[in-house]
Amino acid sequence: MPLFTVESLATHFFTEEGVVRAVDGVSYVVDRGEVLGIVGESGSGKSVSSLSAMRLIPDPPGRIVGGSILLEGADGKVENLVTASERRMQQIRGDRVAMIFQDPMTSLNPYLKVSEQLCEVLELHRKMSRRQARDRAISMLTDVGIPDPSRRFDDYPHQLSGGMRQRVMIAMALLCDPELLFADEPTTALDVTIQAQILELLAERRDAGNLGIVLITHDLGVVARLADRVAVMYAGRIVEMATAVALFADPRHPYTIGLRRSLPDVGSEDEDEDAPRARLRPIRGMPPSLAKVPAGCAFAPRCPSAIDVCHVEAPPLRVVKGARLVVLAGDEDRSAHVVRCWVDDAAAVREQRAPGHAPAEGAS
Amino acid sequence: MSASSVPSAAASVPRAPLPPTVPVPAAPASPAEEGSSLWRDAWRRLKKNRAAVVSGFILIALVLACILQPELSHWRYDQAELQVGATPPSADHWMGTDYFGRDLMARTFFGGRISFAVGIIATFVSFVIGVSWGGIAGYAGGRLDALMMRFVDVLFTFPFLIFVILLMVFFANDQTFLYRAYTSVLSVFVAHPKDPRYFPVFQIIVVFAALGSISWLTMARIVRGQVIALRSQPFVEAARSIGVGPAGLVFRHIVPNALGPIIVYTTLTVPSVMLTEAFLSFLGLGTQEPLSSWGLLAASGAESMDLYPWTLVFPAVFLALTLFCFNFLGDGLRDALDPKARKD
Amino acid sequence: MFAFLLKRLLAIIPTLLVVATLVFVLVRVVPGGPFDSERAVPAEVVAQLNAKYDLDAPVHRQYFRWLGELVTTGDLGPTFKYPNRTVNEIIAVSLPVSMQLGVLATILAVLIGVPLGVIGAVKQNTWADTLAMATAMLGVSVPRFVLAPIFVLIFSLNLYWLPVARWDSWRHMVLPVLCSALPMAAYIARLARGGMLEVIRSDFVRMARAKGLSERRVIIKHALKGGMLPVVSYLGPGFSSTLVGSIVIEKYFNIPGMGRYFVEAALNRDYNLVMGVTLVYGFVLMFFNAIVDVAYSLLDPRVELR
Repeated sequence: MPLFTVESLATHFFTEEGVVRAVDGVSYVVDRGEVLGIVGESGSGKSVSSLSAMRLIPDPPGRIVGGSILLEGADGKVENLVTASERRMQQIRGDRVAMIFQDPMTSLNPYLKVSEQLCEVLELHRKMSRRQARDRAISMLTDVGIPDPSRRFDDYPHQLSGGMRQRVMIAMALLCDPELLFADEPTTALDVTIQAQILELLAERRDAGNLGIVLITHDLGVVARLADRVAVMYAGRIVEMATAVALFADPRHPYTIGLRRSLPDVGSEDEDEDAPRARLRPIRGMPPSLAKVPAGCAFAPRCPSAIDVCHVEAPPLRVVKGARLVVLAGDEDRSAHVVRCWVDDAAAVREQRAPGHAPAEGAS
Repeated sequence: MSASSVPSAAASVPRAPLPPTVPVPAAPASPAEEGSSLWRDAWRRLKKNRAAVVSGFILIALVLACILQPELSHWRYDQAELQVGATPPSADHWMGTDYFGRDLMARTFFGGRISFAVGIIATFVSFVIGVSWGGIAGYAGGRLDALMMRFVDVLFTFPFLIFVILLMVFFANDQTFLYRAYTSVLSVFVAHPKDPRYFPVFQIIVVFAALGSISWLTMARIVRGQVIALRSQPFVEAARSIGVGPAGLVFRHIVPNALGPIIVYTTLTVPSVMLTEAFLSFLGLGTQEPLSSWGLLAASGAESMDLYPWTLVFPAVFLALTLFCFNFLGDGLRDALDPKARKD
Repeated sequence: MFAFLLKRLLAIIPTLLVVATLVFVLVRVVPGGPFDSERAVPAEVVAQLNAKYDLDAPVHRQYFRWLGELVTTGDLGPTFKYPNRTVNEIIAVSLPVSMQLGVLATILAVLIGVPLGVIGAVKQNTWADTLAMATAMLGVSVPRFVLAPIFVLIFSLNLYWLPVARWDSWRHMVLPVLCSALPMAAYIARLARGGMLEVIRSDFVRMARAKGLSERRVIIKHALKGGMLPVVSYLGPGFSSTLVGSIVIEKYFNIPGMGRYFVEAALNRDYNLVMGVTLVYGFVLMFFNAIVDVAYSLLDPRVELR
């Protein structure tokens, strides 16, 4: 039994403008010692799915309306976080399941010292005394790479640099030795050089502590660096999921391909100085409002490879078999490459053209 | 599409002429794009706030009542019938009469005119001073800004009301140069400007000025903050580059964009000014007899409350109701204009 | 911190000086002196009185005289309307009364307003919130001099629980303090609610929940500090307006506080008393503001005292 299983999770927000289906049937699995990357634009539902897992969705206006979230304990017992009591969730949060957020400046309480914010987790979940908590916290600060930790310990967040604050947040999350870590855009607010260090740190943790990590980001580069498996989300659903290697080698969903192509090509070592720079190729159009998701495949309006059925009926997840997509048998390994798309013509999708049409001039 | 030297796979097949671009179905216009300027959004949100909407209607009704009732009623606000004295509400006098036999309803609605006028005009005065001061300080920056805001800071810590009391005591009398100025202006319009009949109006004008001089401080601070936030925005640069001068930049470009908090604060200033006027009237320094304002009426009503409670109740209710509504409206405006208001 | 306080105290002096000068000149420039009353007083008597108090000397002479006295001996001069008492004496007697009223009212306002506001925020949009905020709205909309008679009517004249006027025992204090406190409490409640709502929506409160802290812990330990900042900011001007607003309360309840003397002095053209009271008000309030600034910096570590 894997550590963490999300099954058909649906989280809706009930607003004056209508029902916003932020997460609309998402299923994935994370095991110990592996990193699952969840990629998508803002509004794809990626953050909401992890906030749902921790039951941090404000109610009103949000609510988990369906699905289950299964967490396996060390003793083999499995509990469903969707039905757990708030009391039970408070025991789990910070202890077995932890979360780090995007902006360390706003996620750390500016009015409290770092020591206060670190120790309270230990005092709460491990019943440590202030003394014991202090020692453990300082050693954790060292582990995450903060120089001169005993001094930093008594600082306020605004006295630390951005990178250090993020490390403090990571330390805070790891203090109780969690089994699962949600990292929501952990590097987006940081400089590129610091980004690399933070990702390195997370990788170390994964290797060392048998920690499962759900890494949420819009940045494919981050995913390429750290993730073992990747799920691509669009309009509240997973549209493609595979191992990182498979996803980058053989992306099958038009959206995934569009994402990859829209990355600026900064150039490789054997760059030809005289070769014309490639144009940025963004995906045309905008993601749909999650209050009014169109019938059929949510990506169809923007999809260059869309066929008639795409506009009518939403495709199910299917498994990649060579050049084709076949129906799920139900016994696939979790690292199977699945795609939510009707279009079987892999070449057409790759070339970003409608199936059955000859490739357009200049398609790569 | 960039030209590529890769031969197309179907080169051997005779091809029909290609369409100029690959047709992509146009993305449907997302609902979020239809007319969502800041003001329209704010207006929509405001309309949904029932308390604010009801308050708005009540205020409009009150203003209309204060304008119309004294015209329509056959009792005048200063028509004293001493032999009648204070009487409770009756068919003749719906709100009763005061100690001098004057119809309380007429006095209340006439007083409403004065109270509203004081509130609005004094707020307008503080608006003008505050926006100019804050606008100039915020835009100029540097030394001038520091100096101007120092001035505001100093005034802020000082109990300004003390000043106002002194001003009212010393200036609102017929010996001062201000009064002489007033009578000279008035002499253009009327035959006998020094007739004591016109004195209460002079008083009121001094009240306007005095009250307006209190609340501009916070307005100046707010405006300055907004101007500083906006002056480095690209649209200001653009305006400057086409030759708009500093005054134009501040007043025609920046301030209109800063109006949100300014409007909220202005709406919340009116009730506070009205309250201050009531306070001054209680001390005998505000509106003077025979004119009336809600503050004055409530103050004199308070003194004889055990004997003639209606003389207090009616004006006090109107005053409280008006303040209530302005506060709800101001709160509603603040919520509606808050850019951080999320539709989770 | 003490260096800051000292700096602020010293900064009060120039401000007071400017204000004193302005008021001094103002009261003397305006026509009408303390001895020109409605009662017919022979001109020579008036002239003699004016001479006795040096009121016929040129303004700047009077000013430096007065200033000199103040700086060297701390004496604010004699009053004109109460010939046997000096300004210092009057202030010494009335200031403590006003301060008591003001301080008690402020404390009560905070004790009532903060919990009301916090409850409103935590239980946002429920009936508790609506009730709390409606009460607060009422408190802000009803003037003190309307509250006072209503309270007196209820508690004194009908229930006989509390006395009507004066300031002799703690029972006398209840109604005036209550009337003074309520408008401020209402405003504080609104501020507290707004501040708390803002903080509750913030990322670090979400973080605190994500660590498994109970909702109560989250509110008290994490949200409260930040949420109270608007209230603390307001305490300075709030105390100021309560102190000045108490003038009305003092008049209505016949309390021998400084405010009452101030208005009478202004109406009577009692220059020295006006100057004295103005200066004392100014000093007290600016001092209080400095203390509030220190308190604010204690709450928010990002703020540096300059």
